[in-house]
Order: sequence, then C-alpha cells, then structure tokens
Amino acid sequence: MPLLEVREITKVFPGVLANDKVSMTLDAGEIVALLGENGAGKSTLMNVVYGLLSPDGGEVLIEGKPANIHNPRQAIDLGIGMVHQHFMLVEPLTVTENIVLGREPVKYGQVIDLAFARRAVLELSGRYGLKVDPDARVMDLSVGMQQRVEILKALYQGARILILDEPTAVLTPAEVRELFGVVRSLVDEGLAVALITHKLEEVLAIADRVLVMRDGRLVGETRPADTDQAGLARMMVGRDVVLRVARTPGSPGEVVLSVDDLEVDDDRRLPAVKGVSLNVRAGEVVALAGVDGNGQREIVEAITGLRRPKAGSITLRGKDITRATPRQTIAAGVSHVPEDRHRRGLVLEFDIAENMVLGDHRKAPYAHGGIVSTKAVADTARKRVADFDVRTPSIHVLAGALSGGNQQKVVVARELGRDPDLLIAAQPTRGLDVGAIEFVHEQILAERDRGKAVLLVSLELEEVLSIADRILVIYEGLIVHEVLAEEATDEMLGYYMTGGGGSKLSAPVEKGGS
Amino acid sequence: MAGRPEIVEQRDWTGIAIKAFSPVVSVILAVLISSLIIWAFGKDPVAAFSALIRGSFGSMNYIGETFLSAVPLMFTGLAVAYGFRSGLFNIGAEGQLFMGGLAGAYLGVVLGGMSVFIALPAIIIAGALAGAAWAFIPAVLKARVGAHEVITTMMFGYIARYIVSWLVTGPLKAPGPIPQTDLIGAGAVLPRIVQVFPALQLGRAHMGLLIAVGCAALMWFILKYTTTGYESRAVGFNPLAAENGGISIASTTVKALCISGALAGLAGVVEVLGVQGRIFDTFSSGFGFTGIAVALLAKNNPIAVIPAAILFGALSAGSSLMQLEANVPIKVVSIIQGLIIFFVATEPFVSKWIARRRKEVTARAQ
Amino acid sequence: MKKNVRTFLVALMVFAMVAVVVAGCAPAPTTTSTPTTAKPKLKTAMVTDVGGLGDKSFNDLSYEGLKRAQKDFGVEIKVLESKEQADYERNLTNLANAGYSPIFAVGFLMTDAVSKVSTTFPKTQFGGIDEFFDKAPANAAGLVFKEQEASYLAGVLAGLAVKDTTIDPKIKNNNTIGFVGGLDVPVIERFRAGFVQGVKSVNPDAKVVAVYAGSFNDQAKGKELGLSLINQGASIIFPVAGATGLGTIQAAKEKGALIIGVDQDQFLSVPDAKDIMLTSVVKRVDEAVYQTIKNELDGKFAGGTNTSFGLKEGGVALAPYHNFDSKIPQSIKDKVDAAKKAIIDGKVTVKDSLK
Repeated sequence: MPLLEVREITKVFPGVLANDKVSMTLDAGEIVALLGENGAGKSTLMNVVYGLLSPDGGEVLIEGKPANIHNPRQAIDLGIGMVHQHFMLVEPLTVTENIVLGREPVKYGQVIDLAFARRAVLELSGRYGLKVDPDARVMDLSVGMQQRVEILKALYQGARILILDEPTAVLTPAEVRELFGVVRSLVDEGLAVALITHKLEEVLAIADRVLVMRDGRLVGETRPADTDQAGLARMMVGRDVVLRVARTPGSPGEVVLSVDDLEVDDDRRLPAVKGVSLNVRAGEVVALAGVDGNGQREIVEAITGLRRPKAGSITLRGKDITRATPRQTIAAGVSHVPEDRHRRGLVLEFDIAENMVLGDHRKAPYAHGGIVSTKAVADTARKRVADFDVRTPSIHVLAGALSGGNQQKVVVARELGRDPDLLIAAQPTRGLDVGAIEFVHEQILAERDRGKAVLLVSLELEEVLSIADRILVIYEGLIVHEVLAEEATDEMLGYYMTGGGGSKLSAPVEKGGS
Repeated sequence: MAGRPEIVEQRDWTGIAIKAFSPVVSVILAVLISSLIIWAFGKDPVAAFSALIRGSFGSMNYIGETFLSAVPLMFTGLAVAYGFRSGLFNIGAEGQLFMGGLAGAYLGVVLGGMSVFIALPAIIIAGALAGAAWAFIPAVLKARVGAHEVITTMMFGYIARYIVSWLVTGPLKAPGPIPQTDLIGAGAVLPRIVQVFPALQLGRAHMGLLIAVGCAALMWFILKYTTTGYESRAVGFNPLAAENGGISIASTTVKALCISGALAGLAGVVEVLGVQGRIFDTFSSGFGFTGIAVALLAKNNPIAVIPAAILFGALSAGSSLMQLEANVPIKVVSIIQGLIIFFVATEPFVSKWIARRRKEVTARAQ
Repeated sequence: MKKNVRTFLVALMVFAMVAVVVAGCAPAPTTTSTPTTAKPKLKTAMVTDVGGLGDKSFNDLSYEGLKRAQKDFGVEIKVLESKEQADYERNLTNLANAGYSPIFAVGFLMTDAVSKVSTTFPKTQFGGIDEFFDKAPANAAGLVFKEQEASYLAGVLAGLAVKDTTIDPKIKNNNTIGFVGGLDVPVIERFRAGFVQGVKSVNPDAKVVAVYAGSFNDQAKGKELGLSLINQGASIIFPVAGATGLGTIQAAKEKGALIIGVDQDQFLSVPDAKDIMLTSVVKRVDEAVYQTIKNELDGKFAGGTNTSFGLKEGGVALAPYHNFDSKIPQSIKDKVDAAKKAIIDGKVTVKDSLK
C-alpha cells in the first residue's frame, strides 16, 4: 500500500484547468520527481496535498485511508511536510527557535524548553546528516543552510512525506550536490520525497521515478534509467526540443554601448562596481558571467538609469547617458529585461495589454496628448502575444495570473517590440522551463542577427556558452577575464567566476574590444 | 494554443458575484447586527430603519438632505481613492479640506461682490489649488526623503486645523461673539439645485452635487484613459516596475498626492460655498476621515464612490428622523457605519470562508 | 507594501469599530415621552451641537432643564443629537414639522441655523442657548449668560484666599493667581474680565497670570500650562478651557495648587479633585431652559430679544465650598456674599471685557 495516494485530483482556477484528474502514488523510501513546464500543474497538485488549496474533485489517501486535508496544520498532523521555494522562516530567530516554532516543547506549563528543543534539533540533524548550528540566527545563514532548516523543521514536525518545491532554484551547484546527499539519506531512513522541478539533469541525478505533467495532466511516467534529457524534454514539452540553440557566429559592427571606468555603489552604499569598462557592438551578444551578487545588478541598473553611478561614463552610440533617467535611457534606445520579472519587469495587477506598453505608454500611437488609445494598445498587445506565443485566453488577463514562462514572454515581447539599439537581458531565462528557455534564446539571437547589441547577464554557464559571442567574467565588482565564446570552457569560466583569477589584485582588463 | 483544453472562458461567476456584491453584503450584515443592538436596547429596529429610510429618501426634501450630507463625502472619498490607486494613503484629507474651505471662506468674502460667473469658478478652483498645495509638501517630503505620507499628511492635517482655528479667532474673525469668518458674498454662494432646476425640489442640496459627480467621472477617465492615470496606477501597484518603464516615481507621487489634495480641497470649498457660508473651527465633522471609509466601501472605484457617499449621507440625513420617531440614539448610526467598514475590511476573509464552504458543500454532494 | 497598508487599514477599522461600539454602549439617554401625571400641554425639544449628550456641559445641562420641566410641568420632551453641521437645520426643521415648541438649540454654532429655521416656522418658538442674535426673529430668543458676574465672585474669593495660608498649606503667600483660557474668544474673556475685576476689588496688588491653551480639547497642554503657572508661584488657578482644564486640574493635584471649577460644580463632576476644588463658577444652563419653558407655559416667551442670565436671574452662580466650607473664614464668605448682593442690587457693574 502506497504511503501517499492521489486519486483523480481536479483543480480549476478561473480560466485554467490546473489539474485534470491527476492520480499518483508515492511509496516510503522513494524519490518521485514531478517534472513539467511552469504552469503544468505540479505545484498545484502538491499544494492540494499539503492543504494549501482545496481540490474541486478527487481525493488524497494516506496509507490507504481517505485524508481530509483542509489546511497545512492537518497535513502536518498526517505526516506531510513541504519546503517551499520561498522560505517561511522568522529571520531574527535562531535555528532552534525556527524549527520548534508552532510546536514548542514546554516545561512548567508555559515556559518553552529551549534546551530540550536544542537537543532535539541536534539529534535530528545528526540522524539525517543535516549539519546546522542550532544557535545561529537564520538571517545570518546562507540560502542553502536556510533550506536545511526548513527540512529539519518538517522532520521535527514528524514528516514522513516530504514535498520539495523547486528546491534547487536558489542553490549553488555545490549546494545542490549537498542537498541531493541529504535527500538520499532521508529516503534511506524510510521517508518518501516528492520533488517538484523542471530541471532535467536533476531528475536524472536523483529521482527513482519520474512523473511528467503537461497542461494539468499526467502525461507520462518513467525511470531515469530508461530515458535521457532529450526524452524527458520531449515528454515535458510534447515535441522535440533543442537544448542548445543552433547559432551562427555573430558579426560585430560598430560600438553601441561603451562603459568606461564605471563605479557604482549598492543599496548599502558599499562599492559594488569598482571600475568596470566594457563595450558592446552591434550584432553581438556579450555575456556578463558571474556568481550572483558580484556587481552585475548594479552595472545593469547604472546603464538603464535606475541607479546613479559614482564615477565613470556610459555612452550609447556616442551619446553620453551616464546620468540619464530611465525614461531618457529608453528613449535613447535601450531595452531592459530585468533579472526579476515580478520585482521590476511587470505590474502584476495590470493586464497583459497594459504591461505590453509599459515604457512606451507616452508615445504615439499608444497615447496622444496624454490620452491613452486603448485600441492601439490592444492591437499591439494582441500582435505581440501572437508573435511571442504568450499563452493566455485574452490580453485582458492580469499579468499576475500567468505562469512564470508566459510572464517572461510578456516582458521579452515588450522589450524587443520596442526595437531597441541595445538589449540588456538580465537572467532572461531564470525559472523558465526548457521550452521557454529555447524560445527566449532564439529571440535574443534573432535580435543580434538584426544588428542589435545585446548585453546578457547570466548566472548559468550553460546559457552563457550557448548564446554569447564574447564573455566577460565579473568577480567582486571587477571584470577579471574576457574570452571569446568559442574559446571558453565551463572549467575556465567557473575558475574565474569564483575568484581564481586573483580577484581584487587584477586590474580591469583592457577596454572591452574583441 | 494547440493541444490545450478548451476551458479558458469558464469563469467562476459565483466568485465574481461575491466580489462585486460584497459591499452590499457588508451593508446588509451591518444593518442586521445594528438591528440586534437596537433590539437589545429595547427599541424597535423596524421602526428605526423605517424612519431612517424615510428620513433619507422619503421625500424630495429628504433626498436633498441626503445629497447635502453626501457631497463632501463624495469629494473626500474620491480624494482618498485616488491616493490609494496611486499607492498612497492620504490620511490627511481633512487638512486639505480645511485649507480648501479656508480659501473658499476668504475669497468668498473678498470676491463675493463680483458676478457669480466669475467669482464662483475662480473660488472653487482656488479651493482645489489650496488643497493641492497643502498636499504638495508631504508629497515632496515623500518623493525626496521618503517620509511616509501617513505621518506627514496627518500632521499637516493638524496644522491646517490650528491655522483655521487661529484665523477665525483672530485675523479673519467676523464681528460678534462667535469665532467664525464673515458670511461670504452673494456672488460666491453655490446655488441650490432647485434654484437652477426648479423642477427638482431638492431642498438644501446644492450644485456641489453635480461638481462631485463630474469629478468622479473625470477621475474615472483619468485613471482609465490618460497617461497620468496609467502612471499613477503603475506606481501604486509596483513602483520598481514603473521606474523600469521610465516612469518617475517621485514626480508621479507628487502629482497623485496633489490631485488627491485638490479633491479634498474641493470638499472644503464646496461645503463653505454651498452650505455653511463661512468657516469656523468645527465646520467639518471629520469628512476627510469618513472619506477613507467611503473609498474602502467603493473599493477605490471613482464611480462607486458616488453611491457609497450617498449611503453614508443617507445615514446622516435619516438619523434625525430615526431619533425623532424611534427614539434610537444617533450613536446607532455610528455603529452601522463602523460595522459596514468592518465588514468591508474583512471581506477578503469572509469571501475566502464562503468559497471554502461552497467547496465543502459541493464535495459532499458528489 | 500593499499588504501592509491593508493590514493597517483592517487594524484601524477594527479599532474604530470597537471605539464606536464602546461609545454606543455608553448610556445613551434619549427621550422619554411618558408624562404619567397630567396631560401634556406642551411638546418641547432640544437639539445638541456636535458635542452631543454626555459632554458634561451645555448639552447635558440643557437636558437637565428639560427633564426638570417634564417632571414639574408634565411637558413632553425630546432630544435630537447632531453629528455634523448639516444636522442643525435638519434637526430643527424635523422638530418644528413634528410640532415641538419651544425648541432649544444648544451652542453658538447653531445661531445661523436658528435664524433660518425660525423664519420658515414663524409659529414655532426657538431658544438659542449661548446664542446672541444681532436681529432676533420674533419667535427666537437668545439665551446668554453673564459669566463675568459669577467670575467676579470667584475673583473676590481668590483675591482674599490667596493671602490666607490658614485655609490650605498649598497657598504659598506670594499673591499670585493663575487663569487658563481655552481660546481667546469673547465668552472666555467675560470669565477672565469678571475674575480679574473681582480679584482687584479686594486685593489690588495681586498678580493674575493668564495663559491660553489654543484648544478646548487638549489635556496635555492644559497640564503643561498648569505646571508652568504653579512654577510661577500661582496658588489658585481658574481654568476656563473645557477638557483642557482637566489637565490643569491634574497639574494642580500633582504640584499642589487650588482650583476654581467652571461651568458646573466640578467638585461633583471631577471627583478626584475634591481636595483642591475651592468652588466653581457655574452656568445654570438648565435654569435658563427651565425658565424659558415656564415662561412659554405662562404665555411670557420673550421672542425677538436676547436674554442675559446673570446672578439675579439665577443663570450663573458660585457653587458650594464643599470641603473648604469649614476652612474658609467667615469674613471671606461675608465679603463674597456682600459682593453678590451688590451686583444683584446693581451697585457694582461687572465689565464683560478687559478693555
């Protein structure tokens, strides 16, 4: 008898059938990966199991008995634990306090027995090999450590079934390896793990069994031994997918963007960019590769006018835009796909049409004399929705109701639709599934081939190697290495990205030109 | 869209209906609970609400009274709603209202001798500008140094009240024992509706009603069809994305708070020109604050502000007859208002609860 | 950010609602219309200003007058409370339509409304409490008070007591008296003018320090002003500032000074100030209401004029000395009584302004 059984779960959101009679089982001691594109219904299904959503049909059984789960509390009582993509920890509290929160051991009636709690945490962490400092404050921990705390919390609450929602999205490669080790040891102890993901290589690395979802339905089941990345991708997307887009070498023309000795401070007013010079030519994709937090964001914000540079200059086609406002930067011909579509890319409460013209909304034909032409806006939105294959029933659906991939398509459609001279794409495929990644990469290359300059900021070496013509490696606010894409390797880039090039000692590489 | 199930237009009509009618449900719940309270005090709730309704809609004259009380709330409701739509909580509408009223009372005396067609528009515009000016400083403080508008507009509200308080006891005080300004001149008096349209015997209701309805329509148009409204809403929802789209957060904030202030200023000047004829310490009974409730009830929709304000106006107007005929104390009206606000504010929880109940019932039925 | 605002709003509104409900649960006396004895000869009513019932001031006192009239004459009574300015005309009109007369309008803010409504209803009588009509309509009477006369008596008492340390150890014998005003408006000036004149009549060297709070509703400010007066040596303070004065009383309690109450007998209405309450200058609003109803019954309603209620008419008075009755020497009491007699007999005229 399976530990967890899901029978014909159906969940309808307005306009979307998120789960269409989905059935699955999960046994003790196995890792099941739920694989699918964004919006395929993986998270919906698991949220139903965890009591965050009520299904419109179907039932959940635990050890063969129908379970009546209306909220996470009931799910936890039944031995179900879930670690979300966004952690739900109380940052100023210690690891121990966070783990026991909600189930605090008490003594003398009212007093929390922290010493007992601490011992319990140490015991758990020893048993499963999840090393943590029980007394550290959560806000001082790395993301990977925080995730461990979340897992420990679920275990402390007695989880036998552990649901991990996109657990690797926020981790470094090393942390991913550690996590997989932990997951394996949990399963060896008899737990059941459901892993939500859209990353093919992870599935092959860790899962015992793979369930593939598409459009709210379960479309396939397989074992890693019986398939490969291409096979999984085909099941996921429903067609053959090119994992690395085919491309021809770029043909760089004149310099479009030129950045000289740029210095920028971060939000805490500490130097984040310490004298960066680079240039991007028409018809080439220049990638700024680096580990997150090495000044990429500050460079991009300085170029787009969102942040005031401290020193240096930025010129676009010979025109100084060092101190330009975002509006002037857009007018000068810069488009920006921001690294976080929810934070800077979209107004989630606006509909698709309104988002589609953000930045162009003052210009004809979208507005005349301050009056918006809703027809022109709608026409453009419809055209771009069609051109960029945004999957939506209508252009008047709120952006917040779209899946992540479709949201990103809206942003890309808007920024490319403006026909810019320079496209700055910051992590343009973050959180996207293979199909969408392929699409975005194709669009960026098409833009390059139309003679545009593209500055790509990416944390993914795979992405950098697959579409860049020239690669700049950034480390601690300095460009520490420059290489042509065809000469670059994973190992070389990884070496420089992690400071192997001698970091702070190295002066900026000779000015940009390739 | 190949291969996707064709269910996209299947909409959750019940859910939509719950959302759209939730203010109505709030009002009904408020009335029911107030009835219980009235009953608990040993009074007759049916008689009370019968008197309340007759005293607010029972005759043209009473309808006029309802409009009279609703007009300032329409303006302040619009003011607060515009702020909310732009991500700003203008809690100091009361202060901007006082400045608008002050401009009206002062200019009403100074320009009162002129022709109505010159004096009236000039003074009304001046009142709007005074309200906008009073919102301008908190707006700049917000845009430049990030000072939160809840604090600054509220403090400026106090300052405005004390300025008026000082002026009516000193420099602008009319002769006589009462601390108030002189009565405005004939050219500054906002005519009653019945004076312009003799067929409409609406008693004391004045042309401010039409100005308010016009402002609501204008605000609806601004929000929906102008770049100003588009930018305001964008900044209100997500300032960072708006900034990325070339919208200046600072200037949008200033503009939005000034528009909000202008609407609140109109509430003050129209009240002076249409009802009171002068300004004094207590000329507003917290219209700026009741405006928050009106905006909430209207869910910040400018058109919905009109009926929401009329509802609150009716509660005020009808309370007179309710006291007279049913012996129910006026505090009951405050309770009803409080309950309406309570249910509107808790609506997200209530509709969530209803939705869950609905599902359980459906689940059991299957 | 948006969520925070929402949470804040919910909290604010819940708070507002609780406040409203608590206020609503306070005893809310409205009307009782059941004269069991005689057949009601008269329906009389009052409209409160926005202060409403429970203000422990004009509105409550007027209501006292109504209730006494109901008890003594068997008249039917009704109270309509006002929440906003627009309610004044509305309430007066509805009462007139319902056949009430006389109708009392409480507070000078209703002067305009009474002028308008009395013209619309010429057969209804209106009494304006604390309202002075420049040109009173024939069916409206302004009922105003000579606060300066009772204040004069308080001044005589204070002027003598401030030199007599035997009355209370808090009297510091430096001949300084304090006055706290709410706003510098004519009615407050009448109090102050009468008070100062009374002090000087018995103690020409006494120093009367007068300060203004700028508000009738700011207890913190009242306390601050009280403390500063006491620091300047004031042993007796006369706060005429509504709720602001309660702060001054608090300061006197903490730092040791005596208080002269105002409007009503504050020995009774501010129980924790019993030990420092020398006396109070009371305005008998209830008396004015009661007498006006009596006049109406006798066919002597004095419309078209303003009637001043002074010591003679019983419209203002000095409250009993209560706890200080045994401590104040008979000689001082005699002088206060003599001054009262002199004013009633017209031998002393008390000025209503400082000029």
